[in-house]
Amino acid sequence: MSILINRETKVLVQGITGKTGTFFTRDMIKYGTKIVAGVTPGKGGILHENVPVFDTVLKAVEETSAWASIVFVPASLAKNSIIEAIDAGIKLIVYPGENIPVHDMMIIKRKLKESSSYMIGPNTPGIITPEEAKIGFMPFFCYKKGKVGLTSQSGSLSYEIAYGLTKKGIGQSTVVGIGGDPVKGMEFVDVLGLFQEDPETEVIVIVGEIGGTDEERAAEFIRDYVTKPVVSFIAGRSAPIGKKMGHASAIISEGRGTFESKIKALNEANVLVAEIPAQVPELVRRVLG
Amino acid sequence: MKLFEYQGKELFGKYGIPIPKGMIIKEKDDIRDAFKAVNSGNGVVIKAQVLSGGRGKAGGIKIVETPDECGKRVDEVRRLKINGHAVQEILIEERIPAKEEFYLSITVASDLGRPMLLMSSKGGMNVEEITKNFPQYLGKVEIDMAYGLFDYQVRGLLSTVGFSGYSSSSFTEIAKALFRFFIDYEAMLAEINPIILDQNGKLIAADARVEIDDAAIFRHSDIKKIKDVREKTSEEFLRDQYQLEYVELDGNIGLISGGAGMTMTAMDLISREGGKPACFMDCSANVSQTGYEVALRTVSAKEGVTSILVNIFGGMTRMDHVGEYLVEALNKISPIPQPLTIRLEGTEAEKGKEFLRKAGLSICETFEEAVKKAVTLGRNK
Repeated sequence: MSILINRETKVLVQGITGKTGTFFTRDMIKYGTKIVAGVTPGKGGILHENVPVFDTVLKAVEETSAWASIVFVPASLAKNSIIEAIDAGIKLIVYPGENIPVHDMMIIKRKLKESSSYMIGPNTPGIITPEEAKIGFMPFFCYKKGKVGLTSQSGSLSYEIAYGLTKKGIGQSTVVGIGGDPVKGMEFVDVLGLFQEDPETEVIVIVGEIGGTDEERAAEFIRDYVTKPVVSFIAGRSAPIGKKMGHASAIISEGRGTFESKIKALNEANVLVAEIPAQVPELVRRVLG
Repeated sequence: MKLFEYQGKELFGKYGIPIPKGMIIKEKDDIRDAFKAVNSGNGVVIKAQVLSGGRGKAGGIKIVETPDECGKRVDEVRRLKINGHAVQEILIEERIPAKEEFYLSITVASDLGRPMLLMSSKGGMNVEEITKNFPQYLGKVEIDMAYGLFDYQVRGLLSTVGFSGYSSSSFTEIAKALFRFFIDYEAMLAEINPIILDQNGKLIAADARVEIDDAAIFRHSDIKKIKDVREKTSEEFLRDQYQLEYVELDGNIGLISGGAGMTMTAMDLISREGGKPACFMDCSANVSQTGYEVALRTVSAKEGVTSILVNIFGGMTRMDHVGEYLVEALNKISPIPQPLTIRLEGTEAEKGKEFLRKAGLSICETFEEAVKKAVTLGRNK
């Protein structure tokens, strides 16, 4: 078990014939991901990287029963491609790109609400169930199969922390990067709910950062619904007020999103908070027993 | 991107929101003529145009009664620095005596992923002050992206915040116009604070705070024009020209890293070791010799930097490439005056480290070790 994806998950690549699409299709197949179809409008009928290409997502779903999709389309065109996937009945959509307009994301979010689809992203490395499948571009060597469910806003920091766990022999059930944008698809609470239900996940690790209220809401959810132990690391303790730290949502403004508020909420929910990334494996080890 | 007040007002005006009569005063303009042109009998307000809050407290807003006084005060305001920002332009406006002041804004509520309308019958102070001191007079309503804003939602809020009967329909019209603007221009924030109720019972937008989503500017040619003529900060220049995410801080450790979360964490570790980061420099979007060269030059030239830390964890980025680029970049700049501490980890990290060792650079094995060393070296300088 794992959450959302495993080696049987049928995956579609939107924008498969582009440079990025081609590169990561190859990388995902190599990892074990079952790529069943690609979509590039106007190129339907060809084989690309040995994957059948279709003109539309709907056609690809009808022919291959693709369940998930990763979208390699520039930010300015992403809204259309993501909504095409939702309308075609794709259940999990991953959008790794950066700089998708926030108003486009609000429309997508509204559309997701009336569907039964999940979206991961934008601005995310994706999702990986170690030694089975990945949808995204997480570096394979950072991960190993195991019992820790890991979710993070920052991609780079999730690599560092997953690698730290892996080096200590602690594997992961699934790792989900939710991304660093202010309006996103899945949030910590959505991922936490799935980890709580997943029998293979025994400990949950949340890697957050300053800005927004994702961590505060996660803490509330943990207090009310999560019985599994949770470990956390929050980046940005030393960040100044009112400055965007790389991620669009990593900003402390109008008194919201402070490091202190997040730590307080997590402590109150009995989450073990690591002071530095290297402490995460120790804390996980402690609760795993 | 934030707009100046006068730019926001101009756009509001196009959406039918009443705004005061006003004009921008240029260096050579005849202020007496300008005074006469905007004055409607109650004097004139001089307003410094800056993108920072706290303008009133810093002396950036002055009320004047005569053309002579206006000229004198305009010169004063022009010389001001408001929270470190020079006053680039000055707006003068007719003064409108207010019977009451209200607050109205639309923002992106990121936790909901939808727009939120905020309203208060206590305008003129900022929204945090209203939240703190008059929560009972602050109302909020979420807006559904599929259907937009309904009259009943605005009217409901008006009664929540104790806005009594008069001109509630014109308030509703203003709120709806502001929402049309918010959607059309893909704003992150559209705020009118205060909306003035004048002596004749008319509502007028006395201020405008607008922030447009940077990722959407490509779709709005008029906003792009405003952006193109504006002087860029060094942070904006590095982002636009070299895809480097740079934030200037006031410490001594020049930090170069990859990924927002990693770079922030490196800042935290530096502070934990008793050092202070001099900057946030994220090179992950431009992994190239040029990217690292510009990053190194920028950081090295920054005042007060006594030690430089390069900390890169490569996921899809190959660290042998990073090692090569760093060596090339350093060869071009050398000698860098500050001591350099490097930690590389990830794909092909061993090869990357080999490149650096061959070039005579020493490498730290762990994140923590590298931070400790960089902080110590910075202190000894």
